[in-house]
Amino acid sequence: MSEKERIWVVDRIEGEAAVLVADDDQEMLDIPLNVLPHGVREGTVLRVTESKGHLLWVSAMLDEDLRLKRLRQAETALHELKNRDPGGDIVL
Amino acid sequence: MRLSRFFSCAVFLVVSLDCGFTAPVTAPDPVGKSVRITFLDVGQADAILIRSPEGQTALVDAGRSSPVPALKKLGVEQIDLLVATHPHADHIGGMVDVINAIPIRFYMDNGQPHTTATYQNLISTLQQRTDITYLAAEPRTITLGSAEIEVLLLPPVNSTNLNNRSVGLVLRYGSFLVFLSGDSEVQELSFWVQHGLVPDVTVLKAPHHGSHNGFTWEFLQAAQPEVVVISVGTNSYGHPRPEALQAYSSVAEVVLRTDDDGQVTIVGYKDGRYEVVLGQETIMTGQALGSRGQRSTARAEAVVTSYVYE
Repeated sequence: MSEKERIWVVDRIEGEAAVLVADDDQEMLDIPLNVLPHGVREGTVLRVTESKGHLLWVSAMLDEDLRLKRLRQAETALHELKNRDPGGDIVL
Repeated sequence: MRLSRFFSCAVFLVVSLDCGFTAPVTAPDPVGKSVRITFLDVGQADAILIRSPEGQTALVDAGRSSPVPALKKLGVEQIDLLVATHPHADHIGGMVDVINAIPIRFYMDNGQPHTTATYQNLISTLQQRTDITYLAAEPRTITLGSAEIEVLLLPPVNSTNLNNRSVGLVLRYGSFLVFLSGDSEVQELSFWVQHGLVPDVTVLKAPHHGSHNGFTWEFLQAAQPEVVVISVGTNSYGHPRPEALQAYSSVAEVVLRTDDDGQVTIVGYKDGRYEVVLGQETIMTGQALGSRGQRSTARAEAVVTSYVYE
């Protein structure tokens, strides 16, 4: 089996390139926006086929459900963290 | 001005008072009465260490990869305040390493979620680390000994560009001021200018690595920095852009960039004087005289002389 699906997320847009972070949080790639599907923006989750070690960007598909799920999870976590905020000015 | 590895500078500022006479500036404070801002050389990313005169530390952003070795080399044993200006990987990539390696007291971010594994790992780590106190980036003052960090009001949520919700910080130590704002772009910089939140500062970290959208003339006219530091590494985005370099050079006495100059430290004194230190060694390269208070009634002239590095 030399083909697998990988998840890459658009960390940010720099000019005409999307800066992508792999889900192993190790690899990063700059990919021209015109190679990626229409609608790619900051935070877009992409499912990309990797065949024989090569990422097939033409195969990239947006996963909107996973993007929204991750945002909801992060918002829940942030809400919990904000409960730790003592408020006001802080003296270190 | 861009400094090369083999040339350094001593910058002498004389203050030409309105009455036309040139006055020498006051004697330095005692050794140790200074705040130190170190721009770590973390490539195309940001990581800025603040050390108060009394030894409190703050780290603003943590690079793409771990800045822990550099922090250890600087003798950092605790970080009192860790700030993520915004959740892009070139600013938070090294956060988890920092949290796992160095005791952290407070963590601050802009409260805006992201979908990358980098961000998800960070937020998960913070959830588990109940010993770290979370702080929302809202208008408030963080006191680090005799220095203060003012957290600026953020613009309304912008769903299309996380850069424009970068946490804005103004470090004040007497008349020495530093402006740090991650990757803020025109929209956020203009918001701060419109709300009167941009003071006349001594040091400016070039927003967004010297991008074309990381400055406005109105912002630079308000900030009037003497020193601009660009945290930048090898990149394919054209950072820093020529128009940004030109703009910074036109308002500042010195423009430094971590790709050419390596780690940059600015030592600030309460009366507004500063020293530029390059590299890991404490290399004294310059001194600027003239406080921010004086500047409004006096004209400062920079005379660059005797550049001697290492």
